Amino acid sequence: MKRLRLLSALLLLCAAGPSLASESVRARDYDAYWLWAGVKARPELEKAKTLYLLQGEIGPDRFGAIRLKAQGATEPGPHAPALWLVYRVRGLDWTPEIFAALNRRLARWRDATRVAGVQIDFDASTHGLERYAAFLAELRKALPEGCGLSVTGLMDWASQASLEDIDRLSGTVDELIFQTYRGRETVKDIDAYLARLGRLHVPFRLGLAEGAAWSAPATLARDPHFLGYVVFLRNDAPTP
Amino acid sequence: MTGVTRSITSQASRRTRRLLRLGALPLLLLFPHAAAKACASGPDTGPVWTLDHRQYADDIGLPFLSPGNDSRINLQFLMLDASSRRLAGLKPTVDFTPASTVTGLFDKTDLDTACGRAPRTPDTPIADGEGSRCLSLESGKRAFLEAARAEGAMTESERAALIEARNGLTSSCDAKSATASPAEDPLAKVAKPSSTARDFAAYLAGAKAFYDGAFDTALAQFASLAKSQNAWLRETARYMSARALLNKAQIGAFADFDGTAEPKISDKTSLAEAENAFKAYLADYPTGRYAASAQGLMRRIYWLARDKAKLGAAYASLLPHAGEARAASAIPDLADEIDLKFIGEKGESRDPTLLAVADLMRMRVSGDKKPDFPAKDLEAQAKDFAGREALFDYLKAARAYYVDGDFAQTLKLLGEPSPGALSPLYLAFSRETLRGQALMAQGQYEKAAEQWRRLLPLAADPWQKEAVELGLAMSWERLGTVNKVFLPETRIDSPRIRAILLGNVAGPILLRMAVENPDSTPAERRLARFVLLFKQATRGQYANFLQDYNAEGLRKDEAEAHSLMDSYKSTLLLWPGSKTPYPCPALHEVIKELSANANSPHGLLCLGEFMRVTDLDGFDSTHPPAEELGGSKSIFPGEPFSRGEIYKKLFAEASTPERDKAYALFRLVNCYAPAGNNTCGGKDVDLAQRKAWYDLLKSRYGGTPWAKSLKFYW
Repeated sequence: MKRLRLLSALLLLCAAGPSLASESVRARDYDAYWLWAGVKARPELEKAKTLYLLQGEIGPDRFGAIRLKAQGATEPGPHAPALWLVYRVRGLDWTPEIFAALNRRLARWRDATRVAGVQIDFDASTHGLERYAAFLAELRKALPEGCGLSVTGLMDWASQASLEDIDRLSGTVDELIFQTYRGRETVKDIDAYLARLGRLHVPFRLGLAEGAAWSAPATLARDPHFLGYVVFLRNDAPTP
Repeated sequence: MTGVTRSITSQASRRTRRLLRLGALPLLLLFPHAAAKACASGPDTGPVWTLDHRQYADDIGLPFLSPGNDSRINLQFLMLDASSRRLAGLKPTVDFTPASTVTGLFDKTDLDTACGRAPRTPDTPIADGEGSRCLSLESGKRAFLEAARAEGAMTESERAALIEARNGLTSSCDAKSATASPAEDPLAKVAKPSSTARDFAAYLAGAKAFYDGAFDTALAQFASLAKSQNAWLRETARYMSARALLNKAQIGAFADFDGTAEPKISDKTSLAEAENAFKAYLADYPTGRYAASAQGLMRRIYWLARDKAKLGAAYASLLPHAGEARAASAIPDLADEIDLKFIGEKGESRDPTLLAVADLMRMRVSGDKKPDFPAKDLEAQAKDFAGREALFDYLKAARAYYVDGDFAQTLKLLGEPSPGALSPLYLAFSRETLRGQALMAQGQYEKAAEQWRRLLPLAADPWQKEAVELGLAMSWERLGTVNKVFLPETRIDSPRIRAILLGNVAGPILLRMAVENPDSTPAERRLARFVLLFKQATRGQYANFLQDYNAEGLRKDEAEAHSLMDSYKSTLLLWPGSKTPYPCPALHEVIKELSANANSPHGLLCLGEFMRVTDLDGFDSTHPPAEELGGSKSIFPGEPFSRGEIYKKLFAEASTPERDKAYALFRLVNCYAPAGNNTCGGKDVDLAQRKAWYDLLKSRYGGTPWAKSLKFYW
């Protein structure tokens, strides 16, 4: 039976109450979204400036072989928003076939519409950032010219990884999207995380969960590396 | 740096996930609940090592009808029953190997394989879950070449030209030529080609147009072959016309941004024409080359048209015969298709098998939500189950059990067990496991154990046998007679069940017995020795540790048994001690010291150092939930060891030497590094307390190297 598979950090619905006395995130107030498997079509999507569209999951099967499982029901075709093709990744030991399959899919989309690039959603542990950076460099080389590379990041990186580790990604990726939520709620102590993000030298966005409490810190707008928000859409977000 | 909290659950889970990657899954058997969480993609799949899967358990299966089973698992059991087939080729787990990586009784992919699906090979060019008209490009080529070779009414030069053209055919399906290209006449160089050769050429042009997505061109070419003298061309063109219409109808159906696979067909005319074309093909060629494919594509048309009635009827007619179908993997394939295209959407079928699968889903617990499935809703289906009364009676008993929690009623509805072999196998086995479950839920463990022992010889395959053993072991465990699991005359065969009980429940006697028993598998002996010595060392049984300690045995375990304890090596117990930051002798010496004085601050701190350096803090810190195998209270005396509590106690005691107090304090602050999560066990303290420890260390013990080295608290 199908079930909604959420971005990796969402996997564990850990208790984390709303942290801020603030408004909840409304999709229509933003112009960039993640569209995940199971989320229904809605009018905001075509009007978006940027859309992150889930394409598949890449990870080891039970026997350890890395496989690509196609996800997402939208066929390549012309669209108004700039598209990022998102892959949920559970393992980095990609075979040449995986790179080829990803590029094949990318080519079909690039023939049809404006593709900003590929996004990798991988739950890299803080200690694994170095290995991850090497993988991303390899992926970057495999991608065609003019194709951007975006990665999602965990808030943990901001608190635990050294800033140098994160900055090391700056030569390889075009943007990092930090997920501000866990489960359906914004993480506690989000301000402490954000304060650390302010010291980064990588262009970044913040991922918000639709319906989660959010109030933007004033300093964010002044951060030259901050590119804006991406809203993770839900089917059942409470309407404010 | 002050702490930014991170969930311990998330950390624990990441740890288990890391272990999974290392192939250390069997170790997770000791912490089955954590393992289930780590393996599942959903939020929580509930307890695994129990016969009660009330929540959706993802790919973890029980070998009988169960609400927690993925619908595809329940469907396959019902299909097997319908054609009186049983699972073939299942082998019992005799010991742990690196390949035995299943968390529960079995994994869904193992069922697919046992039902006839060839295991997937990683070099499949198409991603899993991807499908398009391009899938038939290769098989179509082989069929064309075969037909061209078999046709006698062509010259060799015509045949050669056509074969060359088919071999050289490129289309937008190929990665190399991404766009459609005009067809060339393969017979251009043949003088006065025969009409048969021209038909083959027309077919090629049609096929190329089809794979290029030029469906109207394809239709025109295929239509021209209706009266061809070649039978293969006539039949294939009919079938391909219908496919071209279907593909034409589908244009734009998946164009919208939509995370669900809901088709939006605008060209309803082509869809209706496609349906008629497939029907006509099947009428003329009921056992034709493409009959199975045509039937499958008819179902796709119903799905695209959102015609649930027709789709349900198609499945209803297939379900009883899937086990006899020509394709070896018909059962898992049909289960996948039904799950993807039919189940869970509005407007269910009245087919008893499909209803049963949907009913079982309604008995599921979802998050905090209890199942809402009143008896009258099920009763209303009575007439749909006419002729399938046994299935209906089972569903009523299952509903009473899973939804109402009325175990007496469950037993009443189940009636008396029928004597003799189980028939039909999977339904009858489901009924008998439910009987055992209901007795256990009533606390009638003696009767439950009787039921399991009665069922054991009737189990038809290793999965069923392990399920019965699970019920039996859990019943004995709750009766306080877990020793029966290990005694020769009542020994449970499943090494996984024995391992879970050895790791979580067994006391020193059973563990020692497992070490010494020549029937123990190497991995089991290794586990038993490790758990015995570890618990003796950490639960204050120092004299016994010294008696049971066997360095040679530990080395032998490590060398001979693999995988069960991949990440916790047996040889960790040969810890040689450390010089810094706090000098300690070897573990064996530490235990000697504690054996002489159980309160020795140096001994306790060194025991802590052993735990910290070997990363064994988590080894004994989780226990299966009460409703799972191994969930009863451990027979092993004493409480799990917590470094955190030891440090607090040593620091608070006046008799502890100042230097040891300083080290205890230093370690206490470090318990929360690097992310504010307590990794030392025991009761968590708040940030203010951690700051107070830090300040105290810096002021009162500022001269110690530990105080000097500490820059933060967390």
